[in-house]
Amino acid sequence: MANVELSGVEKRFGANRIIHGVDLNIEDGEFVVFVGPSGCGKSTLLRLIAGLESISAGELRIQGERVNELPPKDRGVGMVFQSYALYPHMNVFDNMAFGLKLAGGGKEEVRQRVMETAKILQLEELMGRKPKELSGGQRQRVAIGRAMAREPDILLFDEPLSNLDAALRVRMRVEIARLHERLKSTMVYVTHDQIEAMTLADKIVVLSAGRIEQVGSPRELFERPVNKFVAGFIGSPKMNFFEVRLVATGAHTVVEGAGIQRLELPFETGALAVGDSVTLGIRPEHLKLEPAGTDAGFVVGNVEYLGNEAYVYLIANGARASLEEDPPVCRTEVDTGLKRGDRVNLVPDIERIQLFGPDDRALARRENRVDSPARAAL
Amino acid sequence: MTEAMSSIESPNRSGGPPRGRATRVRRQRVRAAWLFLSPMLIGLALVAGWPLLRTLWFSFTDAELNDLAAARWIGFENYLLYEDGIWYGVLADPDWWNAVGNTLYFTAVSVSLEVVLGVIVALVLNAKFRGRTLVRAAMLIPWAIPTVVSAQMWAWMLNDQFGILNHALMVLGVLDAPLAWTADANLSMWAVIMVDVWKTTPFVALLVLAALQMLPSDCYEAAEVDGIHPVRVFFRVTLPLITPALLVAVIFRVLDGLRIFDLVYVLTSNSASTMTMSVYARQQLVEFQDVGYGSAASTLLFLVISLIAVIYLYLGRRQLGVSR
Amino acid sequence: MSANVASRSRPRRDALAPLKRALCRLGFWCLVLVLGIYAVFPFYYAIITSLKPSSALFDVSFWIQSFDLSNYRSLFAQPTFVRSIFNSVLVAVCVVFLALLLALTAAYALGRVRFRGRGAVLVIVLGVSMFPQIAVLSGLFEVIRWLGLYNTPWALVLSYTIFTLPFTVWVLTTFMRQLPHELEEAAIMDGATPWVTLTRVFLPLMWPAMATTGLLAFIAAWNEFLFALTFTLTDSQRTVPVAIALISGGSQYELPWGPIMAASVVVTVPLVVLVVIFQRRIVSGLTAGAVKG
Repeated sequence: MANVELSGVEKRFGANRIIHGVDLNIEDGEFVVFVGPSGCGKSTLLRLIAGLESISAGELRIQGERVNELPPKDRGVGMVFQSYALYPHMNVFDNMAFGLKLAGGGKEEVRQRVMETAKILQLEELMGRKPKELSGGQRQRVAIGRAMAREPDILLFDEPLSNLDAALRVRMRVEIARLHERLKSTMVYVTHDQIEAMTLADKIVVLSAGRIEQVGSPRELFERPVNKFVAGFIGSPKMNFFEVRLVATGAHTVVEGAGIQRLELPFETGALAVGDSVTLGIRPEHLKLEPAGTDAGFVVGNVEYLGNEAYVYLIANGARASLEEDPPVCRTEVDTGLKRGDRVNLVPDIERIQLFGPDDRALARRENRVDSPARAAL
Repeated sequence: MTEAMSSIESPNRSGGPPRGRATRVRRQRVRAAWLFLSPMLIGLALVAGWPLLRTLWFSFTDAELNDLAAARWIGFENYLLYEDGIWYGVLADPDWWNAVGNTLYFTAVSVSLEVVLGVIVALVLNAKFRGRTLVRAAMLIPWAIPTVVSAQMWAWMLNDQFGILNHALMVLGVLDAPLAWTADANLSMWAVIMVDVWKTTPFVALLVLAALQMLPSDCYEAAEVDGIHPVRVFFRVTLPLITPALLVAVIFRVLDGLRIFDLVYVLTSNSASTMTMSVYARQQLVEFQDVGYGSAASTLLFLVISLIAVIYLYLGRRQLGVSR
Repeated sequence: MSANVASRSRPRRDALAPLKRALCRLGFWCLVLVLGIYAVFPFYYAIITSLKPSSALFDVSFWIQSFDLSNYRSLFAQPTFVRSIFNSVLVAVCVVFLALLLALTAAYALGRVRFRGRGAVLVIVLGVSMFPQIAVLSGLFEVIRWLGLYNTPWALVLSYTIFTLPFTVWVLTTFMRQLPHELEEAAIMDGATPWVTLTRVFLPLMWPAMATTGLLAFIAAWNEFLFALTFTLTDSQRTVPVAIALISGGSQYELPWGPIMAASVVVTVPLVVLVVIFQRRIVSGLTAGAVKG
């Protein structure tokens, strides 16, 4: 078990900077998930910790000790690869024993250690099989077992579930969570799947273009994103964003926008002035739809029926649906009776609204609750 | 998800090495790479690099086979020397120029025939028919037979008195009298070409076949839907698409053709009408024991081949550059 | 191809279409037949010649008429011929092992590690494969004499690396590149050095490629003539191709065609068997070597 500290870590390929000065603390026993869109550098960051890539600048410490120049085997890390990367010509036992043997373990000692690991992962029955004789889930377990066999302080996972089908992915996710509970070792996990991130992580690190956008618990990230990127990235369907204008600041912050009526919100506007444009964010599940007349703000577009719920896509009244932009969407019960062309007003949950300044940073919520009407029409 | 850069061997997009300090793993790998390469490099230096340099050196000396150590520097005399109103040296030797002519003639004719025949064979093998594997195996047989053996087999078939070719042609009424295929100065080059084409067409065919099997089938389906004649499809679609593979086959065959030795040596001996550059050089080197002179001829052959290889690589690169 | 196209071609309102298609079919099969015969006939003819008694040698015939093993008997009665077969096997096997050994480590370096000078090494390898053998003949002769290998099979083992090594390096590099990256990274995480990775992770996966290249190297070494002719002197040190070539001593009319054909068959049969068994491998090896990967 160990903690990991990154300070000012950079990675360059030639003049191309992939990771820009990352500072991060991973506590002992924590389950940390790196999440972000393709090419954001999350895998690279993991590989820097593993030692598969060299660190261009900054420092990486494990248990307080600088490990920048240490080869992977001396860092006390184990890694699970996306494609499993099991040695095809070795059976399960040899796959798991390979690292231990190379480390110079005695025959009996190696056997014992491998069998212990196998027991935890319920692999005992499979020890004599070759990787090609295993199912996807079994291969995944063997890959985890191989990474665990050398009893590393830190386990690294590089998108370990992305090669599995949906059902198996859910099962393995649960299994990994259980494993973490049991081993209590530090785990760092890379994924682009936010559900994996939300369900597994003690701490999520959201990355974008080689920078950390936000670090926090899943709940923090969901409820208090620090900027528009995190707000849009976490949550599905995506958070709705509306461009609005400040019409009053100071004691009462009031906004107004195209298709959106005056709305008083409990936010600090700081240095912003009346007339500045800000972004209003509200998640699809925090919206209600109310039938309205010709003065309605929105018209119903598509209705997607998902069985236990429905997504209602909206078009601003008088505007034309554009393929370029994400339309506002509302997550509702299935029996609202809404259909294409219906005119509606949006009723957001004021408590759940987020405001983002022109720099895309979230505006602070006012602590003392404003007793505005619980429901307001947009 | 493909983060293309994620590998230890991350390509440096900008060309330069990463400026950060490499990990120990990386340094260890580069050191290991050179260590791993060294046996091969030493091997190549021993059998190719050093001997080539020595050959070059010998070509400027009067070295003789039985006493190479006694070689003395004589400058360009092996290549060209003007003395008492007469030109000496390889470049003034009509036999050498005859060998050059023969080699070029042989290479041009046999490679052209091999390419045409190779494409035909490849088209046949690309069709799906029963017994295709068998025919393909049969095609590989000429390729696998040692050159010396194929020379002997053909020498027997081409035998002027008892050869089956003369027999067959006379039975068919094509010939009135048997021909001395390998001995007749007018025919022997054609005999050599015939055997070479027989032996190496499979190689060309296999390369072309590999290219054919990688062609996208939708082009053909589109052409078929449009009702375009198969011959037109071949020239408009197939041929342009297999040209790169064809060029590879051609360069391999041209370089092989230019250095041909064993077939000519066994089939027609040292006859002047088929003597190639390699045969000429070896005759000087070994039979006449004149290492200096023979090395000069070898060096010239080497220069010709390098020149062609360089031109080819240059053109190949330029073509790649255009298509990119 | 033509059968393919013919059979697939769109039905037209043309009364002659079935006839045309039948003709195409017929033409195609004739072509296949001609090509097959053309490829195999010389070998076939060598076999039937070798089975004739010397009295019937000069009766031209297309079919097998006798089954007389006297040519083979007289061939194997010559100790030098048996010896030359032994030499050929020895040389070819040693060349294959030497080339594969040197090429395997080199291919790992060239295929899996990025380092400065890698391109240059690849160009050198490619360049050497284009060398005309005659260009190194005199220099190599000197090296071989200096090493004391003249007129021994070891001279050939050494000199054959000039054409087997570049080729094996090239093909193995291509194969090595296709092995997944993550496999090697897993080995690194397990603490494997490059040598361990190569021998314990990659080598077991390389056997098919090694078999293919080894086979091609074997055929090339088995067939070589120029070096074998130049670097050996006495009958007991020769390889089979040289032995066969030198049976033709005196004038054309006195050539012992029966034994020559018998020897040709003996030398070729193992190759033909190899080719027929491993044709798929050979084809893939040849194309991998030629189409740059």
